[in-house]
Amino acid sequence: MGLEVSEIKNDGIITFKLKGRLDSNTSNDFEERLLNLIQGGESKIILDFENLEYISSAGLRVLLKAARELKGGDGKLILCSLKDYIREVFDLSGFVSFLPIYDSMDECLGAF
Amino acid sequence: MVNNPVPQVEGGVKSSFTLNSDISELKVLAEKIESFGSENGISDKTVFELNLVLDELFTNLVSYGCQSDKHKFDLVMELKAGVLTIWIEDDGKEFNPLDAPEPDTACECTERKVGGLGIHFMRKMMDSIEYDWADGRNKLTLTKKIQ
Repeated sequence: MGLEVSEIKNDGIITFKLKGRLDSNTSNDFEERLLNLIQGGESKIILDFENLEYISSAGLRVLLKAARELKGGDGKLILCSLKDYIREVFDLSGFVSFLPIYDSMDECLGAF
Repeated sequence: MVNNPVPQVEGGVKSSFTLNSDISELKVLAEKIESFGSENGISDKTVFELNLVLDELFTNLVSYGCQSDKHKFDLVMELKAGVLTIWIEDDGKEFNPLDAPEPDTACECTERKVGGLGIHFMRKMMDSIEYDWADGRNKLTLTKKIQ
């Protein structure tokens, strides 16, 4: 019931695959990992949510912080393969206005 | 602390449990909701929404509502005639979520804040919300029609 995160770097694009729950229990560790990477100079980031089962506002807060860190540069944070009920959270919160969301990994890679 | 759903004579199904004010209890909350959902044929989407709304309320209590580390979050869920009713009581600080301002979800920028989103989700995902402060306790009643 925790969060498993795997990380792949290919052609300057980092893909995080998330499995499980991004909530108040797991968001601090993931935030540290994501922000360290951005502060270390990485700017093209895909979050693959295909196996993400759950997200709460604690998880949204991490994505907001990462998007702020990337603002002003030429980097992007992109979300991929959201379950319908997770997509609803992004619609209701209005986060769709600043986080690009795509259905497939090919579309995500094509967005850079 | 652990009670399995008990069929009620009126044809409803009930589950009740208590969480300690510790964020690690979120796991227990998720397990309780998931088992109540699967035992009663509630859709994954609805289980997710219930999980989210109760998580946000519980996380608020743990983050802001505690005067000590010994608070309790008492929860009863009842499914009857296609309507799920949830009664939640806690002994944290007085907090009426219905008084919370709506977040600005239309702001097309990253300058926005996350605060208030949990309550926004509750307003959008539940059919009714009633709040009462009595006997030094926050008492919240939520209902949701189950498809």
